[in-house]
Amino acid sequence: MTGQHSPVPHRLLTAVLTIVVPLLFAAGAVIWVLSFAAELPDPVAVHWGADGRPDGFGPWQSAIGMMILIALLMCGLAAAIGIRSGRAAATRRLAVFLGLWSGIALPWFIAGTLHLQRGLADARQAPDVNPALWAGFAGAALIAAVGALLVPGDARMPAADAVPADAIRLRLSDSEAASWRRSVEIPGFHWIAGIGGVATVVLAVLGLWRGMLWADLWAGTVGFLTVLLVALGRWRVVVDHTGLTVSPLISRPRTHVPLDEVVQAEVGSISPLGDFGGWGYRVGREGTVGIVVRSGEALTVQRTGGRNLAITVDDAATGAALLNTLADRARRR
Amino acid sequence: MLFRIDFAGAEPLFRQLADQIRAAAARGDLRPGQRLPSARELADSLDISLHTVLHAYQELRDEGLIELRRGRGAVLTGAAAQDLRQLRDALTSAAAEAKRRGLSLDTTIGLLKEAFR
Repeated sequence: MTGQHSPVPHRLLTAVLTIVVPLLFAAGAVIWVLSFAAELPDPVAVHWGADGRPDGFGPWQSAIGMMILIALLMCGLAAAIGIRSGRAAATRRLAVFLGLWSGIALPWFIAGTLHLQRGLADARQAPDVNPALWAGFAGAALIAAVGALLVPGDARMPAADAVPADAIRLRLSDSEAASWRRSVEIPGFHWIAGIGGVATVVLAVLGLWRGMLWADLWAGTVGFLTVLLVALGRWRVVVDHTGLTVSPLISRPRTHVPLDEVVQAEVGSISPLGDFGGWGYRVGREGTVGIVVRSGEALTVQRTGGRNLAITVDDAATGAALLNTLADRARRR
Repeated sequence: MLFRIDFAGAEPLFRQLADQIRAAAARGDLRPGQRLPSARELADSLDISLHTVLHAYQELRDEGLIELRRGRGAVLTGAAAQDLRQLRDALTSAAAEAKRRGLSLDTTIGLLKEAFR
């Protein structure tokens, strides 16, 4: 992949959103804890078992200190990604989401568990912290999503050079129009959707009917993960006269590369853990945005401004060839 | 799959489209239960009129290859599962033989039409 020498735009804003704002949120959590620290038991509960009962204890200072340290490391990583390789708006958005989420969720979760222990004589009486965990994580995700939306979009950057002569092409006469469309999904997509949906309903009914709180909490967890997997587990990839368009079932986040911004399209191979650290909508090396639902064949696109994109999809050779061919045609106009 | 339309082609556009979907089903690229793009999306994507795509889809529905459902779009039926490999092999060798003898495509299609009667 090329483009490491293209400038990275909006560095200041990225730094503010990945470091400064999360630090303010972390400081807020500390100030909140300080306001009721005198009423905390000593030691406090710092770890809970699977049954929701506390099983680890320690001083409150080290509990929140440790979490803030982890949050700072995550924010530093997010800032490094966004500032060093945030050439594409999607890369900057993902970095901002990671930074904001870590900086808010981790300190505020710990602050929440401490707040639940306020006024207790003995930390062994500490209540279940699952509600605090989910409220903290979901609230942080919401704020992080808003932050990601504040990131400016991609600037228009038409390519100056022709598509390289050795790039793969498709035989397409000037009187022809073509549209390549594929969908790609995580293996077992329908099974996951079906089993996850049924499990959610069963757990929710059990929880409401029998009044079992744990069942309701599990229904929420399983339901949330199922919705996430269904929403981001299946993507549609289209190459046509408008360029390349990739979108999930819920149609956002949508990625569009206009033909005149295509430097070159190729066929690649993706190892999800090795190249992107996992599956989903992710950032990989050099800020490459990856839409990764499985391992193997992928359509990789070099876009102007050093913005790189990779999508796991079958028959990527046809998609890449058509994209290069249509990009040629757009250059001639 | 790859849809392509030749504006300079002899065949009408809706037929070019229908032929490709038939061929893709015969090759096994399209399977029963698989959904075709909505007529509106495909028309926009190929920069042709919605009417052309609907015409092609209606022809395929009349043949029983697809089902058109309100809100769900066009879905390949069980008829698309037919194994046409033998027929394709036979036609490939027929085409090779026609080329060897220097026959034009039109003449060859004429012979095929005759054989169909």
